[in-house]
Amino acid sequence: MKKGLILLFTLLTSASLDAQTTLRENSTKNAVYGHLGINPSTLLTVGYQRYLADSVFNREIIVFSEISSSLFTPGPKDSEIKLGGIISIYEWNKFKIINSLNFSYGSAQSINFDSKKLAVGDELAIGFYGPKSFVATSIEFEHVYLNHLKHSDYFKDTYFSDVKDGWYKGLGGAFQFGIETGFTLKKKVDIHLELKVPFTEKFNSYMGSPFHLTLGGRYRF
Amino acid sequence: MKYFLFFIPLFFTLSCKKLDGDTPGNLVPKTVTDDPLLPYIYVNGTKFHAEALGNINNPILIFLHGGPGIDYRPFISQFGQENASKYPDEREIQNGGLSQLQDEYYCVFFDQRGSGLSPRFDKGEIDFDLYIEDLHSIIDYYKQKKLDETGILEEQVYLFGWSFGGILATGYINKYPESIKDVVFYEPGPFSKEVVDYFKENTTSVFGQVGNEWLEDYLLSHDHLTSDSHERGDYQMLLGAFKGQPEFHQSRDCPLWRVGSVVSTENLDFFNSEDYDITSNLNHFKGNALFIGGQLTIDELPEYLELQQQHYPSSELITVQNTGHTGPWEKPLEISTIVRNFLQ
Repeated sequence: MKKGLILLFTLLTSASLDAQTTLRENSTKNAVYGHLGINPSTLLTVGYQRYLADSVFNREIIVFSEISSSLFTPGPKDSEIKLGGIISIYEWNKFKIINSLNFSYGSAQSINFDSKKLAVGDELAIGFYGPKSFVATSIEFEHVYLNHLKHSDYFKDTYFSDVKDGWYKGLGGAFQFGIETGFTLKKKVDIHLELKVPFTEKFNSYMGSPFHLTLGGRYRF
Repeated sequence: MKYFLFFIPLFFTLSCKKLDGDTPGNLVPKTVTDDPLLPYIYVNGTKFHAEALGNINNPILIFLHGGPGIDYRPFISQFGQENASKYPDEREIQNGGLSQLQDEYYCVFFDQRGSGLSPRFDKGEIDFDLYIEDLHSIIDYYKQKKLDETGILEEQVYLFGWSFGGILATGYINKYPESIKDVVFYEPGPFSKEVVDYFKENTTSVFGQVGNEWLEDYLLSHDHLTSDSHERGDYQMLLGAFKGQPEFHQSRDCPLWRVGSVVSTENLDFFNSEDYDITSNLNHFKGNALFIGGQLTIDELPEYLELQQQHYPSSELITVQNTGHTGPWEKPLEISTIVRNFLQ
């Protein structure tokens, strides 16, 4: 029971999987990182990771928090905060299966609406992890559990005057299938590249960017 | 205690009754399927959101909206004055936009199958041939109505096709050339592969607009909602409507009721095929064609309308200044005058 609760806690506090977090020297306990890319709009992410020892599974857990914002419209109005954790759930030599789970809160403001969302995402990466590099395939799923929409006067006048504002049960969710790779540049600096193809949670066309691309860097200390 | 206080609003938020985005009327308007107050006709096995304005004794002029997937709201709205209500009785202007032509013509407006406030259809249920037969049935409906109410048998009607509506008009004329007296095009979509290629070579890909605020907002919206239902898909399409390719628009605030996402994304993109040509039988068309273009569009695509015009030997081209692809909404008085002069 206790192990189950710990596992549940671990998964629930674990997100944007970054398989490279497993590549590090044991002497470092912290890392700061940044991502740049399109996912789903242009995105700049900064985050912090903390490596924790897990006495239950005798395995390392990484918890992280990060904040993202649109690259061209930076600021809180188009942003997302994620809290999560990463854990290796299976290892055999260099082969690993890594899971990452996250909670996110996002805001999107446009000429049409002011939207907030609460979502849970999980990502599974399966790949080969060497001491200085890795390559993996990934499956990511995110489901939005709650949305709050407040529409602008512009939207009401131009499109739909009787649109309903308020809390909506989840309006979306998406799968992403991807490949990712990374390598260690210097002793404490990692580079990470990820390409993903998004679909809706019912495997319909995403109707946005046909692919998501992220370039990341990390400094461990 | 402080943790308890934190969880009270969270618990309240999670437990209160929430709206369903897939319920008609929450994010996008109800269609004629769910809203009995909307005007409609029933032809070719389905309802169409439609209304006819003017004296039925006058010649019939049928308006074909763009998209595919949007609706006739821009035809009856007027920039700076009114975005027409979907309920005729609630409109402040009864002859807004191009519906001002109702003083000389019996003006028919309808939302194409799966578009606007006409009923939704699923993927694979709509194709261009069906659209042509829908139009044929709608023309027959109003001709019969006129015959019944006035005793006048009108052999031919006029068409006004805007954007995709121009493709539909040409596809129709290509199949039923004897049914149409004259046709007016406002920046029609391409009629042949040659014109499609010219258009693609001379327009900017959406990827070239990365960083524009509208595109950032539109893309980010996908992180908040996805298009797994008709309603959410329609809503998402609406968020980006008329926002792309700003060089073709004087204003990007053209009103709409609903964008039929299935129609606009899945079934009517046949003009991307290698052998696309809907002009093979146009030589049997004996009427005249008028092409109208906004100056902004012609500045960007100077040969576009001339390439289109070559498919209609008896045609003329008129440019309207200070407008682009949404000219009928922005400059309805000017365009109405051009149409009156041409059809006379």
